[in-house]
Amino acid sequence: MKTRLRMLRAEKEWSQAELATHVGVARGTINAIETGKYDPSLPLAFKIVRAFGKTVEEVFLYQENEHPATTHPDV
Amino acid sequence: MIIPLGASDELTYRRPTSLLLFYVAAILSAVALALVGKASSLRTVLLSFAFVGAATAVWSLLRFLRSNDERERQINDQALTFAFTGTLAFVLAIGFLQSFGFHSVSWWGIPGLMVILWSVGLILYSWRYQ
Repeated sequence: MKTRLRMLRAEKEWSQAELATHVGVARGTINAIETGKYDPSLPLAFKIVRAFGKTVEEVFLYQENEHPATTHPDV
Repeated sequence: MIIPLGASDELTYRRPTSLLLFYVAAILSAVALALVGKASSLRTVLLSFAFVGAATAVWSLLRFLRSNDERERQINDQALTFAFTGTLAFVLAIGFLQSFGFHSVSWWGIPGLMVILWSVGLILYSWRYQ
């Protein structure tokens, strides 16, 4: 799944580690989401978008025909 | 900009201390076990020490695993599945070979193999997200 995380982080001048601390995950998880290697669970997706004051659709860009990245089993 | 710290303080501070405690307890427990044969007069004391060390190691490892986030838990689940199926395949293969005269393998090898395969699985599945 494509995301606008990197751009939004740059706007706020947050590092991956700072965002990770804010939403309560490891820095590697933020990196995996940004690079499209990992699709977050819904609770984590909401935590991330709320950190930026955005909606899910504004941050995560889902395309119908895309190959799903490795996804959390609860989703 | 200052980001307020929350529950994720745990990720920063609890995880390294849990891992450090795990390594120290596991090493002390292994040393105590190794010394049991050499100092038979202290056998009870050393075995008790090894047991307490092993229990502490398991507790700190579980504490570390509880502090993992969702991606890390997923990696861990996949690694455990890899270790379980790998060990099962190994045991079945050894059992099959023993029917043709292959020598027996110590049962100590089974947990050792599981830990090794678990570690290999953690490395392999972590690569997926890099």
